[in-house]
Amino acid sequence: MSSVTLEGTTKTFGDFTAVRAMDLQIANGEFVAILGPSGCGKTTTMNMIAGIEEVSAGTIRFDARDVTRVPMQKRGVGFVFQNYAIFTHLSVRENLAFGLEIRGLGRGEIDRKVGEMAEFMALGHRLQEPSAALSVNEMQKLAIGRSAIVEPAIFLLDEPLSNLDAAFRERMRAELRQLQRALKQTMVYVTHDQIEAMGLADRIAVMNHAVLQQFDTPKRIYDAPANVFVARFIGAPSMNILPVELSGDAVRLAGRPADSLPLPAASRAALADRQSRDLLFGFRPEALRIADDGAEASLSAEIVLVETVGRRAIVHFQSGTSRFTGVFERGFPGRAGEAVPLAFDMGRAHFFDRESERRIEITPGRGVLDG
Amino acid sequence: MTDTSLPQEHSAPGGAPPADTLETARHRLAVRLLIPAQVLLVFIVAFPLLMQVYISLTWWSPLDGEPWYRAYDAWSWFDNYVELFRDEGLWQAVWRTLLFVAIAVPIQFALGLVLAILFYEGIAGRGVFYSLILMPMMIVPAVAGYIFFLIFQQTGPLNALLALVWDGAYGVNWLNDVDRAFIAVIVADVWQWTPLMFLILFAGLMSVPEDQMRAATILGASWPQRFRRIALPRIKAVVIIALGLRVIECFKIFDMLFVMTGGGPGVATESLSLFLYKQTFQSLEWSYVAAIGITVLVVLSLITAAILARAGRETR
Repeated sequence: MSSVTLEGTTKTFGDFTAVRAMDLQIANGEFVAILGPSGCGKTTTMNMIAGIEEVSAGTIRFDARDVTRVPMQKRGVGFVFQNYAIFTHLSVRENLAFGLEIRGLGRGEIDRKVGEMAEFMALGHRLQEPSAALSVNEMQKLAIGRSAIVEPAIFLLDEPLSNLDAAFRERMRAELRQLQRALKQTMVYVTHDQIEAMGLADRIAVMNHAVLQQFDTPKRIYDAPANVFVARFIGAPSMNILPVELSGDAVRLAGRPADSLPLPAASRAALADRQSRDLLFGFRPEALRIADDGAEASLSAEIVLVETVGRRAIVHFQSGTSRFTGVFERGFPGRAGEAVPLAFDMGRAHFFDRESERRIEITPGRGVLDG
Repeated sequence: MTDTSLPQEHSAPGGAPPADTLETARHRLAVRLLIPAQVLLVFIVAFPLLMQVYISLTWWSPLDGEPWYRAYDAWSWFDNYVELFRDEGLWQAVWRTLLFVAIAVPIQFALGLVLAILFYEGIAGRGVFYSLILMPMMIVPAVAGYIFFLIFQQTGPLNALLALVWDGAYGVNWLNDVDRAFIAVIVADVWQWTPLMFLILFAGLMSVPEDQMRAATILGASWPQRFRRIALPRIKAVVIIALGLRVIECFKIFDMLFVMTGGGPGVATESLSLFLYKQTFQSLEWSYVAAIGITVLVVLSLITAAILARAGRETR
């Protein structure tokens, strides 16, 4: 296993830039998810790491070894395809042995390694069977085993869970995580599913429009999104991002001059030299509560719609010209058309620069963002 | 309880279930709809075939002045079939045809495979080449034969081309030399039928799942390894069908030869079909030709059945 370093890695197709100057450092043994909407360049990034796509500019290194121009059959990566690409005309054993036979290992050694890997993947009892007869679960294991057996420098997985149904996906996700731990492999996992990425990865690389937006731990990505895109993309329902008026020590929602939301000291300091029109105010639906006394930051909002989803109620509010959502326990008392007083946890609010859409860092050390 | 009551219900007297009558009616309709095609088949396949068998068991010839159905006057049992095994001219024609097949088909296969692989790997300008390569296949074989008849003339374009590098080129007579005529005919056949091989093999290759090829590449397999281990097992049935098709077609080669060499010089390029043609229209020994025809039909049918059985096994 190896670390992976991308430096200014770029891929262009004619005039179209699929991946722009990507810098990424994946540590040895780390499980990294590349997350983004379709067409964001995540698959192209992975294909460049695998050598399936040629790199247009920049470099890719495995440890200190520059592999930018190394063809894919010599690069030594493991690749698990979306549909696993099992060699269905071969038996389970022949699938596992494929890479070893290509490398010209002796019969005895191949048998030993195949036996070990089959045991490890719990496929030992099915070795002689045609691989087309395997269940999806076993196919995933076989696909990983077939790649792992040649001890690749890194492992790349292309949305391997995307064509499974929801219940089964959860089980496979857990299994994949266990396998990664047991194999102690550097894994790069491409997905458009944030729950998969949040649940599996040590770190997540969020991409949009060919550009890396943020590369950080799931917790940091959620609590301290780098910009408006990441803030909106991660979390469901997604973060409310609204224009606000800033007046010294408080903010007001557009069209609601009466309700003022006082800023904590740390936020005040960070926003000291900002103008209202430069600012976007963001808060997660979970940060809303129904106000029980008039002492805290609160405003009055009208309920537009209450959706009950499982154990949660997703409530849509309107206040002035702003619309936003909140998440509450099931059994939320309000009904559409009613006005309720809402309290904000201003310590968990985010501010973004409207021009660059980057998050304005609230000075750490005050415990504001670490909660 | 239910096990015994169910059949009783069905066999209850007086009430055949309506589904059965519907089934019978449908069956009758199907038979009626099939009758015209069946009658047609009897006339274009069964009748000529039986007539052929009948005549092959006599010495009948159109020169006898008797209609064919009176051929039993010259009943000869299996004399024609015995004669066939003794006829050196026939066996030489068979041998030449086999040699022709054995040389032309492998060349077509090899070239077709190389082209298919080049196209699969995506050579530049394959859109243009695609239609160009398929063109020869669309040409009527007799016309193709005539094209090559002209090309291989002593003063034709081929010798003109050769003359650029070799002064003696105009002295080479292609179609009137025993060996060269054979080569010329093979060249023409390869030119015309390599496209078909290419088309079938290319379609076969395209059906190999791309990500399996890619998975094999990432596991370190070179192109020959990928071809042998991943692609070939999957296109085996297609390969067998392509080869079978060409062997059978090539075995029947006639028009191209007829135009290019007429079987000559002498009988140097006389294929089985050409031999039969000459027996039919020059010697007018129709009963003998019928016997040969039946024999060839039986042998080719057996070979085809074997090939199809093999292809069926490979696809399973």
